[in-house]
Amino acid sequence: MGFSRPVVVKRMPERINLKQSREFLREVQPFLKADRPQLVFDFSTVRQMDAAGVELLLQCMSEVMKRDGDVKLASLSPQAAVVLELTRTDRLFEVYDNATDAVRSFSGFLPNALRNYPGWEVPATITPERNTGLVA
Amino acid sequence: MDLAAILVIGSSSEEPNATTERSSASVGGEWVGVPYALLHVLGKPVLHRMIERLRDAGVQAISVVTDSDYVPSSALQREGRLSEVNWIEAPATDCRQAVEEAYCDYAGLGFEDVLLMNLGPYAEFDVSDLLRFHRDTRQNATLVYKQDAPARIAIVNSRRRNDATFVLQNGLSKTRGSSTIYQFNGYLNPLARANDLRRLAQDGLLLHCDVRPGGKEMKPGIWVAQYAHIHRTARVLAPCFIGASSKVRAAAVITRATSLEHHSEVDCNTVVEDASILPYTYLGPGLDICHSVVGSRHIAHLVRNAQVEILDSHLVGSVVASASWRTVQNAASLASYLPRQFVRGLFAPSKSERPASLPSSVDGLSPAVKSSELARSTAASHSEVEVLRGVRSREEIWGSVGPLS
Repeated sequence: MGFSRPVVVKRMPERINLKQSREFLREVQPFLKADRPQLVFDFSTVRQMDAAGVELLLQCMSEVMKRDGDVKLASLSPQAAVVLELTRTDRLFEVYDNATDAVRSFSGFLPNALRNYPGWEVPATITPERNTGLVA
Repeated sequence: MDLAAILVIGSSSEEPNATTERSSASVGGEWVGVPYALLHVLGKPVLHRMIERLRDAGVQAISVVTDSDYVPSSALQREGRLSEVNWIEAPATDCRQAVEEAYCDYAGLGFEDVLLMNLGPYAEFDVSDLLRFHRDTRQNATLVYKQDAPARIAIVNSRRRNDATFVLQNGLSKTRGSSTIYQFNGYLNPLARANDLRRLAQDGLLLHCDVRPGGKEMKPGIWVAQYAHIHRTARVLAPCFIGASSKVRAAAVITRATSLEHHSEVDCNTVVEDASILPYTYLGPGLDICHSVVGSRHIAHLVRNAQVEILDSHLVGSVVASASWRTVQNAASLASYLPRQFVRGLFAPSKSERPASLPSSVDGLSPAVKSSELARSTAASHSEVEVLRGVRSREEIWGSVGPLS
C-alpha cells in the first residue's frame, strides 16, 4: 500500500550549483534506489540555483519514476521558483506550499497539486482510456 | 520661453525627514544600482525622452544633476541632443547643494523661472500651460500633481531661492506658503519599481502615452531598430520592440508587448512573453521568460514580485558592451567554427544509427541546462520525464516527428 511506505523529506542546500548538486545527489542516492521511493525536496532555504540544480532535479525525477516513485517539491523560495519557471521545469513537478502538505499528498490517490490549477477538474473516476496513453 | 530646467536623478530631492520614504524610494527606484530614469525604454532612456520633451517645449537651458554613483556613461551623454545639456555630478550628500547652485546660476543668467524635476516619475505635461498657470497665479512656487499623486515637479521663481530650497528639501511635494497646485491630466508613471518600468514599455507599445518605440514599424505593432537581426524561423508577434543590434535566434518567440533593448540577444527556442529585456542582456536557449524585467544578470518576476540574481551565464548572461571586444569575440567564434565542426563530426554518432531512446532525441531539455557538466554525465532527458509524468504522451512526442517506418 502506498501510504504505508515512508516519505523522505530532504532540505535542499542554500546554493545549488554543480558542486552542491553532486554532493546532494550522493546523499539522496540511497533513497533514489529504494523500491517505489517517495521524496519531498524542501526548497525553503534555497537562495541560489543554476542549471546544474535543475538538472539534478530532473535526474532525481527520472531515477524515481523508473522505480514507480515520485518526487515532490515544497516551500519554493522565490529564487527557486523563478529558475524553475525560467527553465520550464516547474510543470514537471508537483509543488506544495509546505513539506507537510507534500508528505500528506502521497497518501492521497489524486495529486492535490491539481487543485492549484484553476479550470482543471479532478475526474470522478479514471477511465481505462485515460490511463492507457501509451497504447498505440 | 524664458525658462530653465534642472533634472535631478538620485536621492537628492527626497524628503530628508521621511526616512522610510527615502529609503523605499532609493531602493525601489533603482535597477541593480541604476536609477530607472537612466534605463532604456523602447530604445531610449527615460531621461533622454524627458530632455527631448523639454527641448521641444522650448526650454532653453537644461541641467542634469546626478549622484556621483549614478553618472551615466559618456556614450549615454553624447547620445541624441544631450551634448547641449549641462551635466553636474555631486556626491549624494551634496546633491541638493549642487541643485541650488545650478538654480542660482540660472537666476544670474536672467531666467525668470526655473523648472525643478525629480526623475523619479515620468510625467507627460504641457510645459507652456504650466508656465502660464504659474505666472497667472503669481506664485513663488507651483507644484505639479496628478490627482493626489505628486509628479515631483515644481516651477519656482528664480528670485526666490528660499522657496526653491524649501521645495527641494520637501521632495518637490510641498511649498513654503500656501499655493495653488497645478493639476494635469496627462500620463504619469511613478517609475519606482520594476513593474512601473514594464508598464511604461507596455503603455508605449499600446500607444497609451507619448513614449514611442525607436526604429521602424516593420509590420503593424512590430518596431525594429537598425542592425537588429531576427532569424527567419523566429516568431515575433505584435506589439513588440526589437532594439538596435539585438539578435533573435532561431525558433525564438517574442510576444505580448515585449521590449528587447539594444544589443540584447535571445537564443534559440526561448520564449519571451510580456517582458522587458534591458540592454546587453543574453538569454540562453530554451528558456521561458514571462512577466519579467531582465538585465544585468538579474530577473524581476512581476507576478511573483521577486527579484533574483542569476549567476549561471548559460541561463541569463551579459553581452560585452565594448564594440571592439565584441568584434574580437565574433572573429574568434568564426575562426573556431570549422575546427569545432570537424571535431564534432569525428565523435558524433553516425546518422544511420538509431538513437537509444527516440523521445529523448526529439525534445531535449534546454541546452542551457544540458551544458552543465552534471547534465553531460546523466542519461536523464527532459522528454523522458515529461512522458513519465504524463505532461506529454509518448504519441504526442512521437507524432511530432511523423510516422515511423
